[in-house]
Amino acid sequence: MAQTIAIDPVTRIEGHGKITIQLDDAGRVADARFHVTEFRGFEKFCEGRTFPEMPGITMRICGICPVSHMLASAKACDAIQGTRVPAPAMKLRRMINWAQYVQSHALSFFHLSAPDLLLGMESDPATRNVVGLVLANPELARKGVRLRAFGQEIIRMVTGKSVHPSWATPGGVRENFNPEQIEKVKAGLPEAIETTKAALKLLKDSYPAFTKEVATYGNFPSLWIGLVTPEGGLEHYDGLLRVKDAEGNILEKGLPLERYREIIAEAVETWSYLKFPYYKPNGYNASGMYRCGPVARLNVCDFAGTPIADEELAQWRKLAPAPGKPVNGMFHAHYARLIEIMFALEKIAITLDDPDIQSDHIRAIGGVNEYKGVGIIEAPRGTLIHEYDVDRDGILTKANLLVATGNNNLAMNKTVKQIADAYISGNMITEGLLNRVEHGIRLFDPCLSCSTHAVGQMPLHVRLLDANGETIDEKIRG
Amino acid sequence: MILIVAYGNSLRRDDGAGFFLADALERIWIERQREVERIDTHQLMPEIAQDVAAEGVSAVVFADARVAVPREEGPGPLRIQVRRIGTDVRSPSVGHHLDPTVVMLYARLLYGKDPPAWVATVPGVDFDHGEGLSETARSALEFLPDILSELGVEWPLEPSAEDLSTGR
Repeated sequence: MAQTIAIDPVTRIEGHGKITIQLDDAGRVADARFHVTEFRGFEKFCEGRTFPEMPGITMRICGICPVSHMLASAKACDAIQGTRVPAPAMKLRRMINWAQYVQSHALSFFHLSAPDLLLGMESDPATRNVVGLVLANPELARKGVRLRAFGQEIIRMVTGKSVHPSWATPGGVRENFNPEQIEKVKAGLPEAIETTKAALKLLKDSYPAFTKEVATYGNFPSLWIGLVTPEGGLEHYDGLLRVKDAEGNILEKGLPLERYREIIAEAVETWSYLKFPYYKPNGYNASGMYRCGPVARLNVCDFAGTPIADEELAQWRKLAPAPGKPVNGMFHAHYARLIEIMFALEKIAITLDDPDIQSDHIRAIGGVNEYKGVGIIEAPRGTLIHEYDVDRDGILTKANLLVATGNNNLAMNKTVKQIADAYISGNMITEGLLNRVEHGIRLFDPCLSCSTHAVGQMPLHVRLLDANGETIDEKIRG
Repeated sequence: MILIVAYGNSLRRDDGAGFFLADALERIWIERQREVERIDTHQLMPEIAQDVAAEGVSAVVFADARVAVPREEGPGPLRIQVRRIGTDVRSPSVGHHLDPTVVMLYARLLYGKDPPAWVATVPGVDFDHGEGLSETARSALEFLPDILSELGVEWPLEPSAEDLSTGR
């Protein structure tokens, strides 16, 4: 008898992740759908605003990665202005972006995922949380807090605020670093690097306990998309778009960012507010699905470019099914995030000695010289695109935002299906299944309406329906 | 010192009501010559536990909005609610949300500090894109002095020894 399992939180307001798992008559998972928050509201809200306002407005899309939206927006505004951003401003923007990676990835690993990794996916929810984490490893928890705070403090130093900093502008930035701030960051780097090393060791040591998770959490072939430097290195701020297929073949070696629509198109489904981006040359089907984010970035790049990160990247690549092929499993996103934290810290260390970050030449002034601007950046959770159309007065007539979570929409659906398929047991909705589906989603580190935190608490309501729509079982969490 | 932590998104209408509540609380307590520190943030983060655990913090008030469902909140106008923070904590969200309970637990477990803490919430009914509060949220804020008088003039602080000895 076909059945529907609906992981269904309160859905009266946008901002929740509803999961529906459809079983066939044999009790196997036939389909899974993950309904994610919509961002179209911000796109409409921005119409009629002036383009210089956009970095300040769009950063309120997210409380975790406001810097990503600010920088992507600023890049789109740079294009409208048609000015060349001074080199010191570029370096400062990159610096803040690396700090963003430190704080965002630290939150994902230490606070959101560590309870599952340290305490076990099937452990009691009453203790599989921050309390359990702190009791199991108080030093790790404390260091995780400090690592995140380190990234936030770097952002706050130069922008004035750690959340919603009004700092990046069309053509540049508002403030630079002073010598005192530079020394303070230098003083904090050794601990940050050691904390990341400790986390890497802890994660790698835990792998033997997660062999089934490695095999079933988002472990399927797909395309991979991400930014690379012109030389093919790991890139978070600018560069070129690269696409690889599941065999490791390069489909797009390095596309200039403003031409992204040549390879990315968007579909719409009736059952979700979120857009479904896909690789346009392959069409909207299974072969058009791509993934972005930490795993994708490490898959598409040829090297990282910093010593410790490159060493870890070489180890990470051994997790692929065969040499030269991409790493497929999303469980390896934890490892990828820690590598990116290390990369960011190493890049910060190098840039601190660059006198340009103390330069006063940090902004190019201009007006409206183009009526369309595209800004693409790698947010911690994946490729982020801001595209604006403006009139001759610089008023926005249209905004298109393609966020990382949207880019991963198809892949998240498939991951939920894969996990459900591996762990579902008859007609029972177990706590373990809930935990694992949650963790599977968490691997993508999705941005789910943190812009409205009051309604984004994401309780889970799981309902199991028979073919007639009758509830057989249900569980509510949160 | 009273630490106010206000959080929300001021571009999502009532989601930013916590900041208005924090404005009012801060004004009232300063008028009463209380020492007040304030943090404004988009959402709660683990490092706020470091601020909670800072020297001199004697009480913490989280100022927030809540999704108000009139039929669930009883008769009469929707009001600001104040509740003491407990210790019940669930598994981490798939999103980025930390709640005040988690922040206070971090402060206690990691830094050994456990000041009394409350969450004060403004009823919210409109979370659409835009600035400004709904009539519901604005009305609730107007009744804040009544709420405070019900809680006791010294909330969130304990009466001082001098207050007790003088019967104030």
